[in-house]
Amino acid sequence: MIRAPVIWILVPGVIALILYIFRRWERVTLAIAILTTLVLAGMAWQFPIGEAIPIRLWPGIPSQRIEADLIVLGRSFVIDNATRPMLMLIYLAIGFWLGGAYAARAGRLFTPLGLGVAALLVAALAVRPTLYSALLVETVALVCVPILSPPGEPTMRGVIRFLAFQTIGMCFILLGDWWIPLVEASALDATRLLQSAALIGLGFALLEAVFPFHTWVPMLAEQAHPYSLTFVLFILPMVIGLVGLNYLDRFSQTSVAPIVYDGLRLGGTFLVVVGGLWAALQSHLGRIMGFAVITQIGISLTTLSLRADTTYDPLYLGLFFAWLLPQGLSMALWGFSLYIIKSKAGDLHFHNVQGVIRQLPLAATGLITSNLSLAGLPLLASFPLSVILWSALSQQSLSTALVLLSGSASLMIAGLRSMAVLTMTPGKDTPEAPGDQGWRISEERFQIALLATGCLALFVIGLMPQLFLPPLINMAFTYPNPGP
Amino acid sequence: MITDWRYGILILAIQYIGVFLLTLIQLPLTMAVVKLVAGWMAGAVLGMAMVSIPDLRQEMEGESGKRLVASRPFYLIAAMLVAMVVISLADFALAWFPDIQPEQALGGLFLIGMGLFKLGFTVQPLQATLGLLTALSGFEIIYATIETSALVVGLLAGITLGLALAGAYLLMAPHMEEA
Repeated sequence: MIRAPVIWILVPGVIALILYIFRRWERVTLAIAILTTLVLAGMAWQFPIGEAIPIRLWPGIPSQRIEADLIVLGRSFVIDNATRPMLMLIYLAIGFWLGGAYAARAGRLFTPLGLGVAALLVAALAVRPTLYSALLVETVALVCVPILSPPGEPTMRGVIRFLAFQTIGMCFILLGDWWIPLVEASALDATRLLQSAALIGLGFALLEAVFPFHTWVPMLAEQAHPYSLTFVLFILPMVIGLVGLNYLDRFSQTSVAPIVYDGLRLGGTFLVVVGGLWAALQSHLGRIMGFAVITQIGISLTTLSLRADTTYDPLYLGLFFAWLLPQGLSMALWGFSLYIIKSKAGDLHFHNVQGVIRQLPLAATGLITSNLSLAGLPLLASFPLSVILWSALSQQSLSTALVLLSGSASLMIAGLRSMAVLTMTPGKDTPEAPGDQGWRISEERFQIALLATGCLALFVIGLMPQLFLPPLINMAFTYPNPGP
Repeated sequence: MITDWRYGILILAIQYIGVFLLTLIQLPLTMAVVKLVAGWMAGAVLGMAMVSIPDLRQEMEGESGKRLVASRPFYLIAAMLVAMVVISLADFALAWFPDIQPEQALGGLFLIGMGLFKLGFTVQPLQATLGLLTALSGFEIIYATIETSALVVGLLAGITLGLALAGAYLLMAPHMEEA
């Protein structure tokens, strides 16, 4: 008998520790880490939990059963069949990011810490009661510090702020979580329930970089390694969102559900608009990416708010899951492209990257494509989901849908501005005037392969969404607590 | 107000004795000791990080000498304001948390207030970490009155140590070669 938390939490955690010890052999550790994530994702896909699994390696081996829970210090970690799609999602996402880590020179710490993050995030989803999730998410934030601020580089203010917001957010969630059962026991005291929702909401706002707690994102986007940053900015909000779903389900059974969903919609829409506007006004490619990430967090919140509809359709929750594919792909491509441009141009300020497309055509194309994809441009990966979101939202509130659309339009303007700068003839004051050297491909072969694959994937998903998005949308149907 | 790193860490160690005494009201001795040991270890981690980099020490000692005289009255007034806010909030804490004692409410809120205050006025990793640890220890005092499970105490101790390690790492990272 094997315990599921041992397979998906303990084993990757131990492997991460071993890989940390042997981190000097970067390629070997990376290969082992990628293999581990793929095997764990494959096991999550193939092996049902709580059922006998026949092992046909050679005759005589008895069938094995994977048990769902593991007790640690009196509290249980539960990974059941409903959690398996999320395990696949997490391990595939981590494996995907690790796949580009060597080409992006993300550093030797990225591999073991990335795998460690995966183990901790699964632990955060599996722990019961859910209040412990906040503590584990805080641990993930601590592990992310060396990823964001690698050895040998000056300490960034954004990292300290990130750490502060994550810690304070955890405290709010712990307090708010304590109030919920208290209120449930005292025959639904609406005021207290609202206070609890406010505390938890504030906690998640701090964790998810919701305005006005977003400041660390653009600060880090200006200084940190772009690829490592997009890893943290994708993985962390994704799992915080999944943890948040548990709380949303608890509140959706109560009288404050409309207020919670309205708050989500308002906050999400506001993030999309503000993030988009700020992105359009920036003159630094890194900061544009930072604000684009903020718009994506806003979109995720808005998709969750759709569940407030009285004619509940799991498709709306499926939208939250499905959005992870274009978001993850676009953010990885954006971070990777930015790393390549930054390594050549030195700085990502507009006056430094004028005409860079002549030297780095694929990196520049990757950056523009991923930006436009996140903005919801037709034919690109996010477009089919954007259409569903806009139409679903317009049925509930036309004005909100229009406001959301304006946020996406602003992000598109940011992409067009970036495109204009990257393709323009370099000015006289541009350092090294890269455009003067004529057109050539300066990216390395492996980088070219990854960039081309990324761009192509964004188009393929956009053109044939029916092949890629349904499995993600279907996750909503296996999700344990389907809405109000 | 104290910018000398040695005094900062010493005060952190003393502060954790206070945390130990205040959490002992609700927690069993073994669990309260975990908080004390974790806090002291956090201080030791930060102190070792400072001792291991002479350049950083000299840089910080220079900075603290320059800043202290000019900013002392401002910090004093701000700290008094924080104390006033804490006193006014203590009643709410007493009403909200059923088993909390007045000394726990005052102590916990004061540490949270001073931790956030310190955090708001610094970008230096050591001071920010001390601020975060202070705020977290204040939260731990209040939270110990409502949640006494071993896993929570263990995880919070882990986070205290993790914050100290992260702070030590941020102090040392600029002086390190690639790992």
